[in-house]
Amino acid sequence: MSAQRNAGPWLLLAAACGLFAAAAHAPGLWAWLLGLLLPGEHVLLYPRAPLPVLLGEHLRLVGLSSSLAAAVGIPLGIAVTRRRGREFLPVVDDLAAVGQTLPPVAVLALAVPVLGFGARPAVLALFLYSVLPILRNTVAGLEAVAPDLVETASALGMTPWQTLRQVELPLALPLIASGLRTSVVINIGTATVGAAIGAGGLGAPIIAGLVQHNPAFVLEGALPAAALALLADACLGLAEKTLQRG
Amino acid sequence: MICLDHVTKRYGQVLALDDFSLQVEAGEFCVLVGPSGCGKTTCLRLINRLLDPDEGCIRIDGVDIASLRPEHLRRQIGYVIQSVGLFPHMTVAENIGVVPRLLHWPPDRIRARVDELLHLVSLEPSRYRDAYPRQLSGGEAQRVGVARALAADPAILLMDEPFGAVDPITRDSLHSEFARLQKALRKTVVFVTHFIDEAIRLGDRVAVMREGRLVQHDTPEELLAAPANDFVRDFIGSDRALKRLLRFQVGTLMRPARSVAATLPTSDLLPLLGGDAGAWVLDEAGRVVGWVDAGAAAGQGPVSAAMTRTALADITISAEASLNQALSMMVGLGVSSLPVTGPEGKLLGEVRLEDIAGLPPAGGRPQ
Repeated sequence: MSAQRNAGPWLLLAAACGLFAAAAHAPGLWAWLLGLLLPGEHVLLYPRAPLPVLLGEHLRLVGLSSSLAAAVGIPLGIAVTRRRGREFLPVVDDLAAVGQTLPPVAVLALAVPVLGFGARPAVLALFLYSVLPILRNTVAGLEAVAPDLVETASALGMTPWQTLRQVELPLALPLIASGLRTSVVINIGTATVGAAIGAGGLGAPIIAGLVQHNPAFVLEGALPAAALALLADACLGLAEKTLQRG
Repeated sequence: MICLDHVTKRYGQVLALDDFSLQVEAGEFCVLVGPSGCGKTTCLRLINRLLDPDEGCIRIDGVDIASLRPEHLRRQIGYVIQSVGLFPHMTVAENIGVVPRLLHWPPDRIRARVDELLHLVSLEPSRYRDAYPRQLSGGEAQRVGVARALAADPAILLMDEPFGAVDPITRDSLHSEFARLQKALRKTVVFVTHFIDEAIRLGDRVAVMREGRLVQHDTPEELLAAPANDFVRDFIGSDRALKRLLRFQVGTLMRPARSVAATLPTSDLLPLLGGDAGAWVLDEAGRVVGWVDAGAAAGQGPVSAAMTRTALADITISAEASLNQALSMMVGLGVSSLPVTGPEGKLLGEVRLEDIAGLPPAGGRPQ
C-alpha cells in the first residue's frame, strides 16, 4: 500500500545514481569539465587508472569495512544490552570510543608494518573508525524500547530470543539504520586516505595531484567522492525513512 | 483454580508479600485491592512467573507452577496491563495474534480468531484489523489489549489496573462491557486495582490487601455489610450504601416504559397514557427524542411540537450500567426516571428513583 507512495523518491535516486555511473564512464566528459574549471592544466586525467576502476576500489574499501563494522557492532550492541552482557557495556563503549579517537592515518601507519601495504590495513583502519557509530546507535535503539513492551512480550510467553527478534530489534531498527548510514558516509570520505598506503580508490588521484601540484587530479578524486557520499546518504536515508514508517 | 500457599516475596529489605495465602476458584472474578505498595501487583506477577516467590508455592489446578517453563505457563494465561503494552510496530491483528503465533496456529485460524475477538470487544474488524496502535483511542487500545489477552482462549486472565489509564466515561462503558464478556466467558480472573468502586462493581470476591497481607477476602456484599476492621471500613469510605448500588445493573430494576410516537396528534394522547403523568416520545426508528406531559393533551398539533426535547446521550442509560450511575444521573438531571436504551438507542424500558430507593437493604443477593 505504501510502496506506491514511496516509489517517487526512489526513482529519483535511481536516476541520480545512473547519471553518476554514466558520467564516471565518460572520460571525455571529465576532461572537458576539468578543462573548463582549470584552463591552465595540460594533463587533466589521472593516467594510472580510469575513474570506474578507482570508483570500484573505493566502493570495495567502504563496503568491506562498513559490513565488517556492522557485523561486529550490531551483535556487540545486542550482547551488551542483554541481562548477562550488561556489565560489559561500559568497557565495550570505551573500546569503541578509543577506536574512533585514533586518527585513521595513525592506524594506517601502525598497521602497515604488520599487514603490509595495500587494502588490508586501510580496511582495518576504516573498520575501527566506524564501529562506534554503529555500536552506539544499536545500544541506544535497544535501550529506547519501552521496558513495558519488553515485559509484556515476556508476559505473553515470548522467550528472550523471540522478544529480541519480534519486538526489540524491529523497534530499534530505525536507529540502527541511522548508525549504519553515519558510518558509511564517514567511511566514504575517510577511505581516500587509504591511497597513501597503496589501497587505491578515489584517494589515489588526490594524492598524486597533491604530489605533482596538479589540482585537476585532486578534483578528479574529490568530486566523485563527494558525489558518492551524498548519494549514499540519500539512499540510506530513504531506506531509513521507509523502515520508520513500517 | 489458583492457590497461593504461604507466599513470601522480598525486594531487598522490603517485604512485598508476607506469608500470603489466597485461593481463587475456577471461573471466579477475584479483585485484589489496596493502597499502592500493598503487594497486589507483586501477587499478580507471581502467578505468571514474572516473579518467583522467596518462600511458599503457587499452584494452578494443583500443579506447582515452579515446575513449568515460564514461557509455556504464560501462553496459557492472558495478561492485560494499564499501559496496554500494544506493540507499536504491529497492526491490531498482529498484536492480537501474538500468542496464537507463538503456539504455531495456522495463519487462517489466527485470522479467523482475530476477527472473532474484534467482534467480541465491539470493534469492527474491517476497520480495525490493519490499524496501528497509535491510531486508536485509549478505550479502543484497551479493548485490543483485552482481545490479545483472550486470543488463545486461556482459562486464566490476569489484569493489572487495565482500565486505570482511560477517562471515567470510557471506563464505565468498558466496565459494563467487560462484565457482559465475563458473564459469557467465565474466565478465572485476577484483577488488580486501587479503586474500591471498581472492585465492588466487577468482583465476585474482593481481596483487600495491606502491607503484603490479606486483610479481608469476601464477596462485595459482605465487604460492604461487614468490614473486617477499621482499615477496610476507611478504605471503602462512608458511602457504603451508594457503593452497594454498583453491584446492581440497571436491567435488574427496569420496568416497561410508556411511549408514544412523535407524529401522534396531541388530541389522541390522553387515552394512550392510561393515567400516567406522561410518556417518552420516540422517532420512527424507536429512539427516544423527548418526554411529553399529560398536560400537553390540551394543545394542538403533533406530540413532537409539545414535548420536552432531549439529546439522546444526555438522559438515556444502558441496561448494563450500574444503579449507582443511574442514581447519579437522576440527581444530576433532577429527574425521577431515566429511559433505558439498547443498541442504536432503542427504548427498552425505564428505571425509576422510587425503585432504587425501595431496594432491599444489605444482605439481599443482587442479580
